[in-house]
Amino acid sequence: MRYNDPELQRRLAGEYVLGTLQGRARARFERLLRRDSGLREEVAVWQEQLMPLAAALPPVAPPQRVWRNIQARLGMRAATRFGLTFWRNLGLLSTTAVAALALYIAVAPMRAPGPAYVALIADAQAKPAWIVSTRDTTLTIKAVAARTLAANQSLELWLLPEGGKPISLGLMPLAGSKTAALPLQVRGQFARAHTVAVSVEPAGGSPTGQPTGPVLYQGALIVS
Amino acid sequence: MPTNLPLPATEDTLHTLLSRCALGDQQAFERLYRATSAKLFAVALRILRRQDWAEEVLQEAFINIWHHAPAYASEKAAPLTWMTHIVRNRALDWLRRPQREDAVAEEVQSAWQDESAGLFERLALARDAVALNGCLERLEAKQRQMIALAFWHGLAHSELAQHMQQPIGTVKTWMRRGLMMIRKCLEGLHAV
Repeated sequence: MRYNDPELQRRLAGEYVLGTLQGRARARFERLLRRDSGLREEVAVWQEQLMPLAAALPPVAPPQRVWRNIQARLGMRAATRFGLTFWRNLGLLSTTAVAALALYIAVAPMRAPGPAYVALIADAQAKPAWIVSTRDTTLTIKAVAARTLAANQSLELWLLPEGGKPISLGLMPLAGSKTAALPLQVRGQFARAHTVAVSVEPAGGSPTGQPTGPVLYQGALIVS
Repeated sequence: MPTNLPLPATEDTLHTLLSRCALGDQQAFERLYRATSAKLFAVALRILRRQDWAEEVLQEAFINIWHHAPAYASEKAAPLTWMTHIVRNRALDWLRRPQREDAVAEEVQSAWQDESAGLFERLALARDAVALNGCLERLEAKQRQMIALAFWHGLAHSELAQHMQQPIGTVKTWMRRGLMMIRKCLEGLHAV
């Protein structure tokens, strides 16, 4: 089919939004949609034009269990957002992220004496976001892709030692990389930790020394 | 959650809530859920016709919304439009999954007919749909009916053909023309 015909694109986009485009045609259209911004534009126009049909439907409140299930499936806790359970429930990295981490370990220099650690922090889409690594007395945090954040917020990195409280490893760079000195007593805690996590904090970092905002990202800590 | 009643929410507040979700704000996510879940559940329920399926689809859709909130910033659609699209997509996928066992029962088919009449009345009163409703009213009754059945109940071309007792080719042509006339009509309105 000649997908570059604007008439055809418009029609397919309309049928896609309406839902009558189906099966293989729908799957093919969604693949095209990912790489064709003109097609996305068409879909957006149809969405704005047809979605008001939904306004005719009388609202129906879903049962309470739906929200509870959503929270449970996202690993959210209603009140005890930073309880021990939460830290223990940190999810697994996606296969992609693990593969990327394996590649990083494979190509990273192995000269450092003593244990060096590395963690790959994935974002909500399971794409690599930061690489955290230690060597001797230094900690390096490299942002894989630049991110933006509200001016009154910072992202703070935490080491999560087993059975202990989170330990701050400083603020995350939103772009590029940063290197910081690693105090000896903090270094010692790496052996007891399997995970690092990133929380949203007021600009400049947590005022209490413990995470106060929601945890956005996490990563498994591995001896490199 | 103390209540399931939707809070009055403008597209502006939904926008703010979505951008807070993008930063991982779970309270914003809960407010977003409260403000929109009844509308979105109605969308899923109408297409799927089974409470348990609609609940499952709503859950998956909100998990999707949470995960994709950071990507929403680059979307052109209004928040509720974007979220409705996610729910409908999930519901349609679910409806058309290959292992779906049952054919559409006759009583369901007559329910479509009965419900559509009431929904058209509501549509005429909906503030958000004034322009669309005006354009739909210019279509032939059968075209209006087909577009509504496809949108509200998730009917495919083949089901529309069966339901309206017309060859599938005819249905596709009517549908195509109907959609194009809506587009033309709405663009005409915006141009004025």
